[in-house]
Amino acid sequence: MRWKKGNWLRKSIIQLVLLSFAGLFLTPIIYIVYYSLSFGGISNYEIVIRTPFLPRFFINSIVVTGSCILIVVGLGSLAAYAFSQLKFPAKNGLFYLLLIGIMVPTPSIVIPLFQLMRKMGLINNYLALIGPYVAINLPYPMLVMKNYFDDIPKAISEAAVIEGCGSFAVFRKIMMPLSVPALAVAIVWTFLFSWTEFLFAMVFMPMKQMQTIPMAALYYNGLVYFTGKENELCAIILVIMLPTIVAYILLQGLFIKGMTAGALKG
Amino acid sequence: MSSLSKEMQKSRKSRFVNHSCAINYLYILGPCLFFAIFLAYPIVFISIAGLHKWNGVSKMVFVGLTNYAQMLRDRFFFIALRNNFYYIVFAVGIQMGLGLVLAVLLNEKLRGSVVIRTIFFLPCVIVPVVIALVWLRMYEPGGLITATLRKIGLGVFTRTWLGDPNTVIFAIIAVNIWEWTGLDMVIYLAGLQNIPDELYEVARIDGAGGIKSFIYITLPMLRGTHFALLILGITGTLKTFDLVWVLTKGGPYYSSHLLTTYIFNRGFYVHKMGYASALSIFLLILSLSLTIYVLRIYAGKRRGI
Repeated sequence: MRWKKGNWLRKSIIQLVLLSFAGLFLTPIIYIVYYSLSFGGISNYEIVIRTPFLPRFFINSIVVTGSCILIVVGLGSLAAYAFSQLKFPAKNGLFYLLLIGIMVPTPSIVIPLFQLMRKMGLINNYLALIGPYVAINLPYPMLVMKNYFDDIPKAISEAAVIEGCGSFAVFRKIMMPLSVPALAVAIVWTFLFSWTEFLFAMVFMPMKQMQTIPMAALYYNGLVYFTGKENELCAIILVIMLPTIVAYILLQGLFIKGMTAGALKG
Repeated sequence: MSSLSKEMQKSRKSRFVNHSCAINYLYILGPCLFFAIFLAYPIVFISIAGLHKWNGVSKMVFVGLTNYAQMLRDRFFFIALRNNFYYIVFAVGIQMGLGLVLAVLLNEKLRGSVVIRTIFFLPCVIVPVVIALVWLRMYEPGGLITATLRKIGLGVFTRTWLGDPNTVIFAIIAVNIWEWTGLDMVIYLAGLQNIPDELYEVARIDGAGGIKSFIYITLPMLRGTHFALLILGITGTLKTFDLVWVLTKGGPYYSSHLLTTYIFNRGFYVHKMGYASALSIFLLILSLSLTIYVLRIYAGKRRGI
């Protein structure tokens, strides 16, 4: 597909097609922006920013997502290192078992988890979300990190061992610094899931003060039935979307890499 | 480095690389704990609960396989199953197909391809709940879609998209396609870039045109990507909950339920948690078997090369 002649026309047509389709794709977002600015313009946003619970929703999401990222990266990298470099019985079996986590649909396990949280008294507690999120999020980043560790040349770690490093020192001084891209993938993946998760957030956190961003969107949606101010709702939706979109635009390479990393080795 | 003798070097190296020791288990302790508490325990629980009649509060009553028998007579279960089937066929199919076409077009390295790629991938990072709320407004009787259709004169095609049991699941699938096509496109793009250019050169010299080289070079070389996306797509659609729940809650009159939302409905709305557990087991087994099935096909084709 690299002919030299007649290229310009072909490429222009393709470009046109792609651009118009992309424009079509953007329609929902343009629609919301347009709607949020109607009947009041920028002042809608003013009203939104002064909404009582909004900062609280953000803080909740940040706490949950931040903790998940820390735990997944911390525990996941250790485990990925072990699966990649160390030897112990039933290694392969255990690995596949942990991978099953990817295939479990969250609504399948929400009922027993709800009972569990009730019994442990963790309803309306951050831990009720952090625990399951970490469990569900561990497999994929672990897989990506393990593959990454596998690709680090053995010579480097062997040299370190001869210098007198134990297994943890090799992990800390060699594996981790060399695998920053894999860590980035783990962070992005965990962020996306924890920030957008809805079912557990709805079931485990009935108290408004503890709810996360997805529930915030629904809460404001419900409010609209009383106030009837659809345009303010659109403004709020946009404000909720904004952090993620901004982070995405700035770090797109990272986001896209995060999602594609494991899929290719599959 | 030569301060240690060769034997000592060897024993140092083999101490943790070649020998398993108890300490190695420490590394995987964390994930194993999380898995045991939040994944293994629930799975065991629903296996047991599926054999009982239970409303979530009072004691469980053992009823054997009654729940499963009831499943086979449950009209709504089969509606949910049918919807899941539509989802897999249409959502995954169109996402993969459209994603592939877009990736091939985008691979031409045009100006602004980064911007275009950003735009298509954007819906993947937006909170699904928010996506559902936006499309709710687009689908409503006074909303964008109806208005646009009327403006271009196709007013006869308008319906209450989310209110008509015949169109609702397809309306939801359309939203899903909008949301996830970018992901398939990006993954295909990465796969396309792994195909060496020389293959196309050779084909061109042999006289193959664009379409032929697409069928005989591009598609086969993307085999691994196809299967990865299939598995991602199937497990992804079987997990879908947020979109459907916020858009329709399974309505109108149960016509847009997926297995996931139906489980939630049975468990938390009508308090038939035993039955919901049985449904959960079914969903789990379905997810596992479909994944294994696709993996088997992939492994089989691989051996066939």
